[in-house]
Amino acid sequence: MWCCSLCGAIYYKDFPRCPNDGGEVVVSSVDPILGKTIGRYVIDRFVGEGGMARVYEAHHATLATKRYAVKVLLGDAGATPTMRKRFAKEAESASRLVHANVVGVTDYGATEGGLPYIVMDFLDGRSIAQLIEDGPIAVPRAIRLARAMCEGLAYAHEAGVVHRDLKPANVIVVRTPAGDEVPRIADFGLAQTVDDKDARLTTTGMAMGTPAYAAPEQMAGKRVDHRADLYGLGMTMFEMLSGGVLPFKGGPMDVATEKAHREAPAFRDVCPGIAIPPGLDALLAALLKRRPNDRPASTADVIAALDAIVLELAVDERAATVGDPRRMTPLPQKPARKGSWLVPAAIAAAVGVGGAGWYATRAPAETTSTAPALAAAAPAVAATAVPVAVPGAVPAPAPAPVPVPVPVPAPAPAPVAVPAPKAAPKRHTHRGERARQALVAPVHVELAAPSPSPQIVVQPPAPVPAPPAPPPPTPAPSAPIHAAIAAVDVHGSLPAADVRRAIDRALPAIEHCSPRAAQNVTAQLTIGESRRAEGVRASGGTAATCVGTALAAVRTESAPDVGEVEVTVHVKFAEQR
Amino acid sequence: MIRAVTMVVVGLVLVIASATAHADVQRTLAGSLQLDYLAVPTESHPAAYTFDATTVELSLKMSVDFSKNASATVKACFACHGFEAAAAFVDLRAADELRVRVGRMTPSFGSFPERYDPANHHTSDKPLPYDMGRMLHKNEWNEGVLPAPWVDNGVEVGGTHFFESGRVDYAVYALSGPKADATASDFDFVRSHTPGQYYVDNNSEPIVGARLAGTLEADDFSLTGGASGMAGHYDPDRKLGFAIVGADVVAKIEDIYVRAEYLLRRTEMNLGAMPAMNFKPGPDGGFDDTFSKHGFYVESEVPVGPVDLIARFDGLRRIGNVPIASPLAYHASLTRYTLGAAMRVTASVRIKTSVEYYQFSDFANELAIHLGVATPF
Repeated sequence: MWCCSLCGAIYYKDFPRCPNDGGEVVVSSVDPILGKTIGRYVIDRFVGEGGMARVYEAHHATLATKRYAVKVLLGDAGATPTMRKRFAKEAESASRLVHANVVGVTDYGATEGGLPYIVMDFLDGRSIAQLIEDGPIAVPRAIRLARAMCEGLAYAHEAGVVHRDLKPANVIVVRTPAGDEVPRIADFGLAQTVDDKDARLTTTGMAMGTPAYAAPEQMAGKRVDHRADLYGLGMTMFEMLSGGVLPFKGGPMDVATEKAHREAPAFRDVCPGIAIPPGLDALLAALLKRRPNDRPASTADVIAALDAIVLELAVDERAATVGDPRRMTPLPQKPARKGSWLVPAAIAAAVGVGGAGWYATRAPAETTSTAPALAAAAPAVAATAVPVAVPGAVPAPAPAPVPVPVPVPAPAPAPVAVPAPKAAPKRHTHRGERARQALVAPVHVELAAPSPSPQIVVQPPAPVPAPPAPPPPTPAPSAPIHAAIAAVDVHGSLPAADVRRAIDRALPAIEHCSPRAAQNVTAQLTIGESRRAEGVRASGGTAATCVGTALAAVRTESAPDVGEVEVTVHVKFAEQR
Repeated sequence: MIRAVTMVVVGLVLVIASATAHADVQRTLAGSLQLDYLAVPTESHPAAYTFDATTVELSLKMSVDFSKNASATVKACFACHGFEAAAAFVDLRAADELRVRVGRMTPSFGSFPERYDPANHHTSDKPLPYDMGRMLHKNEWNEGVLPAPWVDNGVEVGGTHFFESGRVDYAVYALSGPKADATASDFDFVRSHTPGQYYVDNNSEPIVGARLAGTLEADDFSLTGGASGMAGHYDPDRKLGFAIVGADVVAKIEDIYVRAEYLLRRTEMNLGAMPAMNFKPGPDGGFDDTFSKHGFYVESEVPVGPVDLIARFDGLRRIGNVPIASPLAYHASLTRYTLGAAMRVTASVRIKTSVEYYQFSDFANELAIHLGVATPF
């Protein structure tokens, strides 16, 4: 890995000098953070890596039994003071969230070298992504988990914090001493800490969310609000109920295209073999609406809908017992909590207990979904559980900490067979394979659309013989990739200089798209009366989506006065050391 | 004269093209063509007061970049005044926030002039505040408030400041200005489009103007609001002043555009030594040496498949003494209702059709029908 010789910041992009302290960026075979004491926390081991941070297990310097997850910002993600400030600001926001269904941020600060970090509870539990590996989650259990997640979401939304990357891997389910399950949502608000113009994150799945779960408006790089979380909730619920099947098939680019152009198919159509209550099917459809305005207005509405479904289920059961179908129809306007086993269960479960495990399976950015899957595939990793201190909770008896190996790349995946839309749900696609393919497969991307905002049209990714590993903790084998605008072709009534200047304004975002291999990306866009890029299409490599998203923000000084202007941008990513 | 100007414009294009042929510069070339047929079924001989039947407009524009900060643009047009230099300017940019434009240009005023080209607006006719020869009774009304394109010679200093969720555009300029003779009672727009007249200033004094516009952008929505102003003298003796102010709003909601503009021009007239000999008296029997002309339009464009549906309501109002031979009254008004459709038959070819219903205060109401084809290339 590339590390700053002074502050220890880890870089994956081409930074000859650390932008923060000017230290030389050198190759290191050892993570410089390991064994160090950051603030009051002694770093014990590397756990996983996301698009913007590395996660370590740590113990308190004086209270050795206290274990924490310490997330240290990557040098790439903290290259500018603005990004660091936003990270600190969002960490501060997240630290104010104290809720049974939210993983608490207990501390944050900066290392001696100035690297921002946050400290979180270290939980003993399994992520919903891991639970799904066991197969479809039964309707009552799924509703119970979803409702508790809603409680956490509603609390955060009321506090003005939007998650922006809600997905099964970010929800850790712990058990109370009584055995009740309590889902706890991790990484609240942190997905938006990075500069909005950091288009690289569209590929790493942080600022833009993870493609499979991110809302369409988020995929398009637009502003998002709490309704993006409702979309993520819908996707999470869908996958819980289906056992790993999502409404949109294919690689991330296919998914992005589908999301941009059409509504999610109904659960009953995707999983005809799994029966769920009609109300739940309708709720899923509402949560997964393409337009935010068509989704439920608030998390409270979702809770109300879930309560109604629970009541409906109860009525159904009673009707079935009594044999009087008329008793099935009328539902009260306000679902009575009496008779619902869900609410008390959720409230009881809200007294959380903690454990570890999750961070042992967290993984790099796009990798955030990859590594858990990899870990899940390797029992030795997935089974890791470390006790943690959770306020107000009694730690469950914990197994001895098991040294967790650094996530290693799984064997090269075979090309993923995309299931037919109406195929019976089955665990046909290994999550790790899916995510890995998303990382490495060359794709042809078209960020284009008849609508004014860029939408994504994608051709299926071609299988590749061998995927590269997730960001390695060992020395990077190749030099960093540098982006350059190779050419800008302008056809129309604007001076090319005007367009070139607009492209140059997008260059910083394009530079963040640096893929892990040299490649050329060609993008086309149109500029009309709005003076904004429209119909952006990009192709040529894994960075195409990211480049397309960056170029979608292009704005020219003038509007073309004769017709529209067609622009072709050639971006070259090449090694540079 | 027309031939001479044509040759000059074409020659200028060729000179720039050849001068930059081997240089590391980029050239962009664009043009447009519109063929329109205007029928006025409510009038037996409409040619007396509009450009009915078939008219053709074309434009050819070339831009050359000498660097990222310097470019030159030349645009030639053919329309009702024959060939005309619609643009011939040099842009020098120090930054996004500072651009200097020198030459012959359409100055920054209002919203519609940014899309006046037939390829860029989806009805054959223009909104009344900016209308020219296709409006009915164009001579009696002396066209709109500020007929577009308003092309003039001078210097414009402007820029754009981009921010995260929008932009601010601004410009100030000094131009030769509109023209008329010393005894005028209104602008002589023909002079502004006649090469021998627009080549030089008529009163050795520039007019000045400015525009400020702000745009907010969010998701599939953008909202632009602008204000413009222009003032100066238009007669050779610099005694007849004018001032034009305008406000405009353009909202884009997904693919739907909603636009509205309002223009007001106050213009001084030379009443002469004996106003009663030349002008009709006002309602109070007096004569005022200033008239005001208001213009507005509100329109919406809604795309439905390959067709853009357009609905527009626009109008003009003139208040002031009128020349004694004018059929207009002291208070004269015109409102118009337009329904149109522009169908994209290929990537760039549009068939435009529209129906316009005119309501005049001083003439019979009229119906006008346009059918045309327009294409940028």
